Amino acid sequence: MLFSNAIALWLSAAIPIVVYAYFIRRKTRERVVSSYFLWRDVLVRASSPTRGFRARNIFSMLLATTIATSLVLASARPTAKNNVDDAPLIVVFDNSASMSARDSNGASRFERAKSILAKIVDNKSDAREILLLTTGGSPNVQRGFTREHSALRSVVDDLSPTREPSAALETLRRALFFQRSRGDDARILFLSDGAFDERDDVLALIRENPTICLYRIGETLGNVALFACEPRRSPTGDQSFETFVDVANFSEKDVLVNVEFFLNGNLLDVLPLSLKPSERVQKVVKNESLDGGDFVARLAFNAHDVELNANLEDDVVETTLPPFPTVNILLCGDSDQFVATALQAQPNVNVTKISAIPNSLDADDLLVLVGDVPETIPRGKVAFVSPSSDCQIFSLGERIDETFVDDAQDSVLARYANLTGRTLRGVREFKLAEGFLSTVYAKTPEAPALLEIGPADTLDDSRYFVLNFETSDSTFALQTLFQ
Amino acid sequence: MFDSQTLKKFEYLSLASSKQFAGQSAGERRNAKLGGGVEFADYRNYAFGDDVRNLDWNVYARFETLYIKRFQEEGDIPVYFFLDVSSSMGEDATAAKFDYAKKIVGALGYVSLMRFDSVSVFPFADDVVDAFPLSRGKEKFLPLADYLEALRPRRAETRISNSIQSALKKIVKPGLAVVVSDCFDANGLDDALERLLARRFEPLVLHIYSTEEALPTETGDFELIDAETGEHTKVMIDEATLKLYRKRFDAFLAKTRKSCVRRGARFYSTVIDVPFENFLLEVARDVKVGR
Repeated sequence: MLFSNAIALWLSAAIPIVVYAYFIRRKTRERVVSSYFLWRDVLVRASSPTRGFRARNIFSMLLATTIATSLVLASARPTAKNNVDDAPLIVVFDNSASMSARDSNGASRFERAKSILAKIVDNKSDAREILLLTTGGSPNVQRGFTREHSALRSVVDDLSPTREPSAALETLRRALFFQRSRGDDARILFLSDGAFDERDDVLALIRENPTICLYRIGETLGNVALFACEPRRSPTGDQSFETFVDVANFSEKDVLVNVEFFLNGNLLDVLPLSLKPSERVQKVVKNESLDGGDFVARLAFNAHDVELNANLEDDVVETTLPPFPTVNILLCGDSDQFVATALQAQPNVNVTKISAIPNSLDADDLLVLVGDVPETIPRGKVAFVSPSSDCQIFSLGERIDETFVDDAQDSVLARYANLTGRTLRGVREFKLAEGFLSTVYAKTPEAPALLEIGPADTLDDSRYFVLNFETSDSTFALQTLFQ
Repeated sequence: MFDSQTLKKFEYLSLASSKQFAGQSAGERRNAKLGGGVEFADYRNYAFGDDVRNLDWNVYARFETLYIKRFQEEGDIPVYFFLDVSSSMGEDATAAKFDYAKKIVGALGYVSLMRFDSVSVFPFADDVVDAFPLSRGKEKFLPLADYLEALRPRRAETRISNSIQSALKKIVKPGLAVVVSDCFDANGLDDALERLLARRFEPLVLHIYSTEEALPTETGDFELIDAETGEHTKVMIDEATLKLYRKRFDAFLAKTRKSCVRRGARFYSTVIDVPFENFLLEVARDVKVGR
């Protein structure tokens, strides 16, 4: 409640005066009467003993106090800025993966939260504004402040659970920001099952802001979740791929679970895990395959552990494993048998020898130049193989204060790639097989694909060449050994 | 007590009495006895020893029978004032009601003395005290006035019947009994009136009261203290209570009047706000009745 004339509330200081005046008035006065026996008759007949009168007087005092209070409040001109039912409402809807869990009665938390939200929207007054935020992954404004039932109902109907964790803290902060734009009477309703990260911070935020109402949905159940399953091609350039697996046990018991990997429906591997309560395990599994396709990871439980897994939605991860791409290499320059042999040895490489540098390159072509750097090179992916040049080894993330190619030597390459003052972004250090030293891969927007080739420092002075490069779409890695 | 102008007015007044009393001395009032008056009363046959001066010779001339003329003897009437000096009349001598009552007694006493009546005053509360003896002659007014001036209310409750019973033991001759009181006696006037009538007194009740007694207006919390007994009680008086009290006072007034009228006693009631002279005129207006 707001007061247009809040100064008038100071008048409430006069209320004790009313009470004080009452007690002054209540002082009993002595009165000598001649007709006492008449008074006595009257008081008996009135059947209103003094106690009754006092009660009535106290009631009158309360009435007077109430009237005085009402007058004070009335003079303060209270204004109900918004009825509670009309106050703006910010709904923070948890559509994270945990909301897909089903409780013991089989009901989905998400569906239940959705039905609650639908009821709120259906029953809201026409004057009430509602803003809808979801927490899945990151804060997402599904619908800004609006009073339209149909628009809100449409958004609610389109809500779907995500496979992301709940960004509750950030979303609530965002909600508080929106709340400030609507004044103090705006309310925040947080529909969630309570499964969110930074739990203590979220609960502290809710405690600090009484306008946030957490509506807890669902029962407390155990769950084992496949947090992440990310397959990727092995950067070592072989035919294998690595799968990063992240599994967590949210139940209060030990769980034995198998992570089964399928590629195009065929079982590739099984990873047995033993998880203690609240334990989270992250592993990398390596498998050999040139093929790409539908990659599925699935949790498989022992029969007696099924009850510990409330949410079936987070038991499966489906993704796509890229196949080894075929790279069209245009090999130009001196006929270097070693280089040609090394390139052709790759399973996904088509090597075409050309004698002259083409004027243009297709997007999938990689022009490999062996020997000296020519005067002109076409736009596109170009690699230089210069066995005679020195190799500069940079640390990861190191700022390059010098040009990649020494200007003093008047390198022609400097005309194409001036890396002075730039940080090597996307630098990745590959773990190489034994006997190889580390090398650096560099990729910049200005030079989509740069290849550094240099001699490995070896004690026996053998000529080792490590060829490592990756195209801009990150689908190609090549490693070979020149000796 | 009164200035000369006021006393001059009182000389034209007379206390009325419907009864005839046998007075001790000659006065202006007809007496129960027949005798030496000037007003013709009756005839009777002559008997031996009658004063021949009373023979009606005109009748003898016509009927040749001796008849004795009888005349109404005129004498005084004893007037007994019963003045209420209880605490209910006031706290001290200057209290309005008490002063009003004393003035009435003084004025009527003056009127009676001027009419050659005998006057006596019996102050009473729960009993009579220090009566003013039966006196006659207007020269007795000053002693009467001094007596009244010296009267003070007594810290005692009103017991009219008991007081009159005590007074009657001291009174030999019946007469006009003027009771000046607020009549705030829980036992009422009935018994007192019966006693007076039994002794052939003519009661005259002058009831005086104050406005505050009849129409109280103050509301709030009070500790009511009985002026006579000191009994007290705490009450909260509101308008409803006041209304009840007024009705009760009216009923009390009506009952007192009824008690008097039923027994042939004259009853006059006044609030002390009425000018004293007006009330006196009302009481003493019928001078012919007693002549």
